[in-house]
Amino acid sequence: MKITEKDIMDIADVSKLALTDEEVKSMTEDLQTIFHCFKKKLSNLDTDGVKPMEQVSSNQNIFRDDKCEHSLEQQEVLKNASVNEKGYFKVPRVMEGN
Amino acid sequence: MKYEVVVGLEVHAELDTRTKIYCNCTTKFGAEPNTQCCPVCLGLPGAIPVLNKKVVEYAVKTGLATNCSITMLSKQDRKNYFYPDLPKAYQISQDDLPICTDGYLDIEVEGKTKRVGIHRIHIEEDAGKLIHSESNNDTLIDFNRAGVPLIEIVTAPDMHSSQEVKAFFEKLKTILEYTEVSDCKMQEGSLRADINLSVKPEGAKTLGTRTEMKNLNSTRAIVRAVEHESKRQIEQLEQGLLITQETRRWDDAKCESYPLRSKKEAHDYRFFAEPNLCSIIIDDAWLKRIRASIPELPDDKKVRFIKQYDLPEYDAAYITSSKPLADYFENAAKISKNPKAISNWIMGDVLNKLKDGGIQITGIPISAQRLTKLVDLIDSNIISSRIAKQVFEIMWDTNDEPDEIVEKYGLQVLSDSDTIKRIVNEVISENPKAVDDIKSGKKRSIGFLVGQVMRKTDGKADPRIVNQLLSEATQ
Amino acid sequence: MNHSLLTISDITKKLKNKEISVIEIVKSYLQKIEKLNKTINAYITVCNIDAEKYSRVLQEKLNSGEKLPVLFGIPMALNDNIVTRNTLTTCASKMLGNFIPPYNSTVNERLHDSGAILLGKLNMDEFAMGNSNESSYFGAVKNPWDFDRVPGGASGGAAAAVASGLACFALGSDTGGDIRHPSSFCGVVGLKPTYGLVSRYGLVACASSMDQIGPITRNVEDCAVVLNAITGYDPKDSTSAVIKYPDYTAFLGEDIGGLKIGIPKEYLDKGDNGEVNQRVFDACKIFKSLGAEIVEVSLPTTQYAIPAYYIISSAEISSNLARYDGIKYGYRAKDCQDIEDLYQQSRAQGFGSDVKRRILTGTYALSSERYEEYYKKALKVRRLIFEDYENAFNHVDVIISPTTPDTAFKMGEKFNEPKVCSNYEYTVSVSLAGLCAMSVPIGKDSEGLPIGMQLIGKRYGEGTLIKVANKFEEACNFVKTEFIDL
Repeated sequence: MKITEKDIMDIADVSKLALTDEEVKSMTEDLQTIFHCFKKKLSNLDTDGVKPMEQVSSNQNIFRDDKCEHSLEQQEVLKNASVNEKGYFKVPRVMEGN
Repeated sequence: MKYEVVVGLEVHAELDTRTKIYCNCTTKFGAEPNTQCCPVCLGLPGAIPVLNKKVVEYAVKTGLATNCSITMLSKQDRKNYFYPDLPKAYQISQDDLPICTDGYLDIEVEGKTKRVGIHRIHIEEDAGKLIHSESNNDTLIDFNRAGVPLIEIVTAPDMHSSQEVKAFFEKLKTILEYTEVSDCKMQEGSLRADINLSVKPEGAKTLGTRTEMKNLNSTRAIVRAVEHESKRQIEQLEQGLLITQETRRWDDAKCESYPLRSKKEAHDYRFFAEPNLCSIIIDDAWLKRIRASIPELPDDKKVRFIKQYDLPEYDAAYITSSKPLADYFENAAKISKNPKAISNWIMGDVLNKLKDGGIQITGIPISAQRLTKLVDLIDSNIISSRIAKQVFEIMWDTNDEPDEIVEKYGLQVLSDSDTIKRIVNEVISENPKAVDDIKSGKKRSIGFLVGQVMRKTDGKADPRIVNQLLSEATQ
Repeated sequence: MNHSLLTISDITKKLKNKEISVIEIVKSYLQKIEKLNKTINAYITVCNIDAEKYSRVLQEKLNSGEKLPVLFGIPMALNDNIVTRNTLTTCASKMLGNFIPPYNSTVNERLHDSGAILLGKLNMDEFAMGNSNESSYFGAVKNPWDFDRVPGGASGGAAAAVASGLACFALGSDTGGDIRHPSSFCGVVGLKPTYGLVSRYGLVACASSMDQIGPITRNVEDCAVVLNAITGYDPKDSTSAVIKYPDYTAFLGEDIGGLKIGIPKEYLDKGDNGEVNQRVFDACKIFKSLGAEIVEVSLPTTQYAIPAYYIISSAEISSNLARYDGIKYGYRAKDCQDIEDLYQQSRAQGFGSDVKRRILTGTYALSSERYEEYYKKALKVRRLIFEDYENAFNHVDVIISPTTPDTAFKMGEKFNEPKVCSNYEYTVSVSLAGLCAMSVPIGKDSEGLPIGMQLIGKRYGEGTLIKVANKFEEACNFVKTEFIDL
């Protein structure tokens, strides 16, 4: 398995990170090293039949009652947005299916 | 060549909870933008979700009402993708362990019963709303809807015509209304459907390439989109063209669909378990409580109405297809001596009025009790059926009691034989030709004379007495 | 008068005896910050005005003779990934350089209600990813013991502030060792609580299945006092522990006779830094002399902890950090033509390179082609590690190890290495298993740099850790006497 620059550009695209050519190069090297090393190491450990463990919390059925509480004021909602208009967040026009 | 259409639906229903799925913000529709948001539903750094218990109960309720198995242990997962209406850039949904699986609904199409499978029902959060401004080159975002609870109901590809799709969708909608899981206000986007459709040569084993049409928000649009897309795909195949697997947008105003700009690659949602939420365990005791909260469902109600109130199958099916209508009927029927007449009024005058006025069933201005009184007035011969129509009109507009209306306008049946006899005699003397006709065997002319009597009594004369007196007088 | 090296109980006593006022204490800390922060760079934000204001409110309470809460008048600071309402919360990132939260974290509310005074927000590695504090957008933090060296990471500002008397205590966050590591490098007591013990509501997420907030203090007693104030069930956090929360100060001074302390043979076989291991052996001797029994245990799967940890944490990071898109808050790139450009540029310009590397790593590990091979495999390894600890804890009450294999390294020394949790080999397995662990100072190396031991406890075993560490502290007075007064 080899991670190519094309792979990195694809992942960067999914992650919405514009990378410079230099970054593509260095990230390719880094990820190649990291995953190569991990694969080698982890292949020594037999995990057949082991149940994946996503979380360590043993909590179950933690729920909230369906009761309304105050929401934030509109100005609080918008105060950290660098661009807003008439109570809305604002972005460059979104084409459907983007 | 003959083709077979194969359709599956993904229906999104907004649940009728007071608060959002993971926070205490209200779900009310129509507020000022970004006034029903908090750190959790805005996805502010550091804010984490806690599940609304009602959401689980509503999903289970829907599952039970659609014959699903309920998953004892289910979990919630993140579906990762960027879109400006999605505040966290992931939607909390369910991937491999949805709350309900493997159900079905039976539908009736052209007198035949057909079973449509339901793959799964899962819970998830709704996204915000994008408003595309036409004039400026930008898009505005309102996150009031972000975090409103949804269930997604995914069917098997078991439907083969627009009639079947319509029947299924309406049946499902009725069930969601009956169980009060969703208000199903399609005009507010509470119920939306995605259509997966493919066509194949009749009898072929393998399915054709399918397209997906997203966010259809009326039954009419669903029907038209299915018909249009079936036709489009068949035409493509007949021309020897291939169907492209794609997402298409339906423009109901133009009755047209067009492909959405295709993505560079298919989405890889990178699902993984939401670490901020814990597993949902639905044990027998809880399941029992939820089951007990499910009201009588439309199919059962229909059978009961036929039996208990002696309704024709068609009327019973129609009335039970809407919970408010069925409730209205039954509220009247159970205090009436003549439920059949109640059903007739509803199927006739009431529905016409609703249709003409564009009024919702819940907006019927005449209470069930008053409708019953109206029927009583007819049955006890206080007013005639003809006069009843007038009384009904006045009731609709004024909201007055029917007996008060009858009293106020003097609409009681005229059943005093002496008075009627006087008028009959008048009519006979004014219409010698008609009398002669009758005597010479043209019995039909008696109708003319009845009409004349009615005219003179403003329609209030008891027709039985009028008929009897006229027959006697013309013998 | 310099109050900056007093412990919580010292200050509480002096306040009760009216030897000093709350106003004086806060002033003296703020003055010291003013003087030293330029050098150490432990604070990103100093809350002068709010701190002085609150100190006056508290002083009035003190004067009126009201019953005083546990942290009354104690000046403290929070890692800058702990959300503070109306106070800048940057996560040491350009991305959140202007972020003023409209809400409060549960821990900040609890501390405020307990009478603690927030001095400011502490520097850290960007979004809590790193082991040296060099990835902060606001500049590196310096180790107060040697300004040429790093304080450790990611909660480096917190450990440096407490070690140099710029806060009486601090709260840091720990995902794979981020409280314990800098605590060890700076010679202070740092506790990573059991997953779920302290509410994460208002902790800006790094890797949500492992993140925990915990105290960094000058001694074990302070650790217990702070823990009492910040623990408790929180209905806003679905993973908040549903347990009976003990009084952690009740464990102070308790006898440890007969207690079994496990020492993992896999760790001490390694013999990397002789000095660090030697000190841990010395500590074992002290424990023996206190009546504890030292038992060898085995944690065979922990050798796989780093890859498993790196994959799982990166996967969660890639998702947790996707929300930073320049739209609702945070850095927004200028002059973007379309939404794609806005996303790509805002994120490219707003995140530092370590963060980008973790996002790419996580996205790759979660991609449908690699999911089984990496992410799922790592989750399986996680279970085996969890089981390793379960087995070991069938035989012992506490497990001991070094906190880090080495003492603080020089700035720039490891900055350009591809960082895969070097120096974290003893801490990440604890995080994967969700257990509690404490780093306790046990002496200094030949260069005068602090060495820490890690005490690992069972799930919700904080009381035992406090008991053991407190006894140790009593027995060897290193911790009590050796603080740097700069």
